Amino acid sequence: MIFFANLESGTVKTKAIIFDENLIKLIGQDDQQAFQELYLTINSPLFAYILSLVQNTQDAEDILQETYLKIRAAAHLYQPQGKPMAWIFTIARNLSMMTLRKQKRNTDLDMENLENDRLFATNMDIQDQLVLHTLLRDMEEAERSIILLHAVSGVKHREIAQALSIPLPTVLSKYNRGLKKLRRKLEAQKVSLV
Amino acid sequence: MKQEKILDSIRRSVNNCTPDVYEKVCNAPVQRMVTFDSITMQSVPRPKQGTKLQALSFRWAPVFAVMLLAVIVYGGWWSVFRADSVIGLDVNPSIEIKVNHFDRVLNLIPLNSDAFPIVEGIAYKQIKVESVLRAVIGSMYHHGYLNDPESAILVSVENQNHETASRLKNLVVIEVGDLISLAPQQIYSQTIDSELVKEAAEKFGVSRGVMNLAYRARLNHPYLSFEDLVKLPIAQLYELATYKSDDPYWNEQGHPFGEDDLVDVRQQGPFEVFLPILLQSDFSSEQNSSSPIYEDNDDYDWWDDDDEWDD
Repeated sequence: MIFFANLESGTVKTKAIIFDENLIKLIGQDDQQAFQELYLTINSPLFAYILSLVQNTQDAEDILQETYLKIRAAAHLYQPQGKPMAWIFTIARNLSMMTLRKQKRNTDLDMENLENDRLFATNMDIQDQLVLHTLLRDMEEAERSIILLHAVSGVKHREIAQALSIPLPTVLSKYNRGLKKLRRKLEAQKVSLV
Repeated sequence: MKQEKILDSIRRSVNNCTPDVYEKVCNAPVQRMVTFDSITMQSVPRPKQGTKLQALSFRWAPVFAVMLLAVIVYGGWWSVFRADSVIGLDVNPSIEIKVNHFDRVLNLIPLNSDAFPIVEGIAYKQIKVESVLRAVIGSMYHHGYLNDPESAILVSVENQNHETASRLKNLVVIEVGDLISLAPQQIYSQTIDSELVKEAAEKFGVSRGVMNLAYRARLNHPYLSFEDLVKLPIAQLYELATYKSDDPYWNEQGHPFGEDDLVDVRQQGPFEVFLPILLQSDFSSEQNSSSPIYEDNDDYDWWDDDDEWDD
């Protein structure tokens, strides 16, 4: 069971969403309703996690689709271990690493590539663009993942630790250190958020 | 800049670009895997170290707990309810006090008819030995014993551990000395660590302390029988145990255990009388029933058949 928070503009409202391991079993039996429920539950944090790895929305979207297909193809083989999200994140990470290796690309993107990304072609606020750009460019991979997962879906640090198979103290340490570093970077760039 | 604003900004930007791929992935044809591939491989939880040992420990833990409890209970019972030492008080009435490991009295036994009225009414169960001693000595005074300046008291402590016996003997002697300090009584003390004394004492119906002294007296005066010796007052028995016979025959042979193992209590205070181990063969139960050593026969060699004294 994993709890996610539903963040709404301005205020943080936590909403417990039950993620039952039985969903995986039902998906293995081609239960579309179960798949839909899983999708609605994990789509946002899963995309955030993939984005933190590949730092590119196009690649992240491709990997996101491929992750769902892998889940559908292997769900019937899944053995319940109490950490279904960890399995899904492992699939997403393996696909991301494979993509990065294929492209022979360094995980640190330069400014030019980021600016050409679709992420920055939308009508997004310029300040928000700078924050996300700084996060993806200047933070370490683990810091990116933890901050993104916590910011996008309000996932508790304990659940992040479980999903990423990282000790909780490490998660807390990287989160706080990464956020402070991000704030310093943003202040240096004179980014002002409303 | 507040952290909440940064998090809100990140959430807004990511939510803006999160694609909705449900229709694509829901309707796409998927071939079910036969086994996991390298991408979907599910990690196998690593067994914790020591799991087997822990399982074994848990399985046998109740057994160990019960065994430990049994040992503790048995050990506790052994210490509390088993007689660790036997204290003998001999004036004329002879009294035996059995104490446990913690110097608490388990039993107070009158060994002759004179001793019955003395111990009557004295509470002793699990009471410290000093308190019971005071009650016994007080009762002896009350019944007219220990008033005579010529009377003597023999304190005997029996324990397999010589150190424990000595400690308890000193404790008892000090207590008795305090109680009868107004009268110049003679206090003899000894430790006993031989089971043979117990057997012989039971045979003659006397205390182990008296029997031990009788042994010594018989060594010095072999022409006296044990039956006569055990009936003597403590002071006289002590005299015989302390001083060897004037018989020139024995003086010529020399004392078999040396001259220095007996000390005059009137000169040096309480002393110990050590039971010679060589006497063991004289008091086997078979010999006692028909042995001539109790006969007043000067010619009989009570040292048995080794002819050591017949030359």
